[in-house]
Amino acid sequence: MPNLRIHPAVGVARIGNSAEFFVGPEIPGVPGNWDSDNNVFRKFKDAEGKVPRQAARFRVFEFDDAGNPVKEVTLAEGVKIEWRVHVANRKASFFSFHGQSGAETNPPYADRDKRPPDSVERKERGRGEPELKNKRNAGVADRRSLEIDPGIVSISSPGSVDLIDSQTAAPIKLLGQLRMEPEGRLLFLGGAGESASTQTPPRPIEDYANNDTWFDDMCDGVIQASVTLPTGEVQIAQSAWIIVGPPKFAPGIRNVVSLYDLLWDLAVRLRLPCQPGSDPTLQDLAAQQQAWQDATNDFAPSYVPSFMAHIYPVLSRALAAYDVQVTIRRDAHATFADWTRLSKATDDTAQMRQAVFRRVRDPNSNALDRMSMPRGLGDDYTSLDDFENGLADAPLPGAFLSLTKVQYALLKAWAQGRFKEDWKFGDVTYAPIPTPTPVTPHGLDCAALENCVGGPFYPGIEVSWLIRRPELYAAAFRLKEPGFTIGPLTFQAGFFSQQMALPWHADFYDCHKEDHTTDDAPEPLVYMWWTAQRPDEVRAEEDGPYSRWVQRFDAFKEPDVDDPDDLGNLARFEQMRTRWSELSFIVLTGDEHLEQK
Amino acid sequence: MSNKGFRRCAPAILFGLLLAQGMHAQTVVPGSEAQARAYYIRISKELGFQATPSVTTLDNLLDFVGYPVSAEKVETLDPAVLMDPARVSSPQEGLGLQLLGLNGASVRDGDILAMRFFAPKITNVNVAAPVPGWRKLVRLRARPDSRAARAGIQTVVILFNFFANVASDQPFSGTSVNTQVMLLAPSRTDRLYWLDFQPDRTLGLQLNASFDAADLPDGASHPYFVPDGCNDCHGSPSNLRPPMLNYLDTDHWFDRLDDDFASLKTANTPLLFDAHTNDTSQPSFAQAFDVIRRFNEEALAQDEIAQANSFEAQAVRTWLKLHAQSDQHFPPVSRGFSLTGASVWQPSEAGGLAELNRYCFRCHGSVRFSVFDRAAVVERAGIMRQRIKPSQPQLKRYFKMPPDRTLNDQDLQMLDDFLKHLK
Repeated sequence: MPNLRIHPAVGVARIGNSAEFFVGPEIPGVPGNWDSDNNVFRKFKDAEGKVPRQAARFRVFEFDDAGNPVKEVTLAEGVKIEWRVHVANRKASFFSFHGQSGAETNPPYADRDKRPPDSVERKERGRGEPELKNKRNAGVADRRSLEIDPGIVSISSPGSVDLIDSQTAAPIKLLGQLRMEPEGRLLFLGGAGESASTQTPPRPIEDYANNDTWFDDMCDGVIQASVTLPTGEVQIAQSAWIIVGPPKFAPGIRNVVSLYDLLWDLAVRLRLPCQPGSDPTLQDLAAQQQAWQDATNDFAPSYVPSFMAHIYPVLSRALAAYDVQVTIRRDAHATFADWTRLSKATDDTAQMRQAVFRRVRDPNSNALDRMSMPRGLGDDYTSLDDFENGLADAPLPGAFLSLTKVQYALLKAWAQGRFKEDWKFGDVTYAPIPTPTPVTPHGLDCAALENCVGGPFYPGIEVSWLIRRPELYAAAFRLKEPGFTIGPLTFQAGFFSQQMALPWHADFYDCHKEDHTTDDAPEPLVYMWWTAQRPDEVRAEEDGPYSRWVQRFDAFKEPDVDDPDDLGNLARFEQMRTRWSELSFIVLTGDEHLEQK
Repeated sequence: MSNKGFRRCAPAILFGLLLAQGMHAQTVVPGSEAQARAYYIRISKELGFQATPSVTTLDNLLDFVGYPVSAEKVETLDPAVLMDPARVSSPQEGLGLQLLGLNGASVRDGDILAMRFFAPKITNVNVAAPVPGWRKLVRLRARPDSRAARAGIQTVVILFNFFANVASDQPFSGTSVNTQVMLLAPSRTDRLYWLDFQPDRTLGLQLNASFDAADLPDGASHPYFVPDGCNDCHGSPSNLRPPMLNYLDTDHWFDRLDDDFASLKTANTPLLFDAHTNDTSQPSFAQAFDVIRRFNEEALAQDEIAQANSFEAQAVRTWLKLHAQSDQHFPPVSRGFSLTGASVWQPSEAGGLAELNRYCFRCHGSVRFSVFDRAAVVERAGIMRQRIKPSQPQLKRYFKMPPDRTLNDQDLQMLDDFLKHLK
């Protein structure tokens, strides 16, 4: 009985308004749309200046009993593959997003589910901060009419089929398209970045996350495949999930906490089933699962991290972040651009490693720590906002982003000198982007997820905090088959996207860096949201000036506000909603990340 | 009540500045011309003093603080004359102030402090034979009923900057190449305002200095604009808090006779120029030293108003404590301090501290931390080692120390070895 699984277990598509598309990352370390032959990024704009979609490509693999992939299952030799895809957009019928509201109960949303849809989550405070109801579109009784759900869509021969809900009352019907390649692989293409209101003229977008009457064409859902062997035997592959996000505008820069890091962390700490076979990465995961000590949130000393696999990624992302966010000093984070020394486990370099580690926020601490790194805002941002508005005595520690517990433990081991000295690139700013190797099942998982945001989730870029729920996982990196409930929620198509901002453009504008400098701060305390997905400041030339990434929108700000980022400038949302595709992509050019020409 | 997205505060100004400016090779924040102009416009409104670049003169400023006299005279008059109310009031010998008193107020003892001294801090050490810098500091109390006093300004500190070859026994015979002015306004939010005057004594936007000269040809300098360039070295990086007055570290001046300025030692040029000698036992030395002591007491008072718990304030407290009864030169290892009660420098560490004092104190006496705060150095030792021996990618990002010169391999190794063993 073959053991069939779809990979990537979680695939990632990104919206685009061009007829063109490219296949998303499939090799770990190789970003999307990277031209390995010429070591440059391909164009992220088509001839008309529109943005090509990032397709997610799914494949079926056969595994042996030890967990080793035997082969990729294709249409060759009389095999038939039927892909069954169910995605949906349930944003407009879901609870409004309000930080961690809903997360405080187990199961989530248990408390909010008891409240009337039109009960007030928070009061109106002024323009740009409207009253927030428990549910979006609280006054609409027919909740199904608020959902875009094409149902299960199948494709079993090369060609294409649209994901369209012709029944919905929503002004958006199309969520994307399925294509089957000649080999039998599935390409999932998401939406065009469309949004629309049921109202004419459209109701103004006033909030970063919750706007009644509005719809967009994001979605997520399950990818299933059944394989008919030449014998006529039908095998069902373990299903995968598709998530759809906005374009990743700095494709060469990853988030300090990626979605891969988050799912890895869950896999280690929850000891999610993992059949590593001969995959070295999964063998490493299994080793971490064994060495993880719950009581101390640390690894047993027997576990020795790899500098290249575990340390370099975190530090290099922090270094690259300042290519898309201007900071007070040009040399900020340049302490990381010293891989030769930082990768040595000698006494000679101990001070340097320890100096870096001392600056890292401890995810195991219950103490508020504004100063440490990463300088990112966190899931409990609401508490910071409340504090700054005089509604709370102090922010919660989670108002600021922490690395995952596993990332932190790995850095700790590194600081202590317990790591493999496997850096091999000498004095360079960044390790070269790897030369593509044949795809592997886990490599597909990694490549898809490492380019997504793993935190903070306020609400997030591709998914939000529901992704952390342990009961969702069948195995490491693999979600369970849908159809079960978690309290008031059903794990079904649209489960992750329903938490996200509606329309996504509003939060995408507002997730720029924020200044929360305190009176006693020794330096400006400026925090990022997701600068690797949504840059803050960018440069066209290596030694050129920085400019606001969204500067082109500034001319359209409303006349009664001084600052285009002011909450009263509702034009910012409309600008992003209608002109997002005009924004530049930031690509690795030499060893700097600059606007693609 | 959460909403995302907008926080308005001062650093936004700074970031705006950086946006306009782009990359810069300087380690000390240079500021920008645009920001300097905006600053002068702001303080003109706040203080009621029209600060217009290339138009406003140092004479105008003196008039504003109640000394309607020639700036040239203030620059050139002997401190002994300036500090003597009778002599300074004389129209023949001094400034003729008795004729110009406001509401009859005459110059009182202590209204003017003046001193001249060796200033290694302004000297470009990125040349084979550094030309020593010298400074004349004149501190004027805003005269009662002056416009400055009405605007909350208590004192004005004027720093005239000179450079003279070692052979010169008259380092102050030339003209100030740049004149920095601090207006101390303890009751105002800023606490301290900056002005900068060009050699022709008209208002300028920037100080040209060699703090980051390592990447420049011999003798060249970078611009540091008001207020950011000033604030960065006066305890207010990013302009978050009020800047502070830096104290005059006589001990550091004498330290430097043993390294970059040995020729001054040979020439026996008086470092406290008004003492006319380096012999600390001489009454003239004590007299000159006492003027500096009085100034440093005032610096501490200003620091305590601005940032009482700062390392800068602790540094001047340490100097004042050491020199409460003594005009002697204290070696570096006896000048350590701690803000936290951590251990201070020990005699066994004197060699390494001397290196830090020579190569790092110029900035890290007042920028971010002091090398005399041992715990602060220990905490940063790893990063400091990276900075003194940066990788190529770090160099490209200007991650290099010291920024004012390129050290030879031997000195680098000595510093690295010293820092490596610090615990």
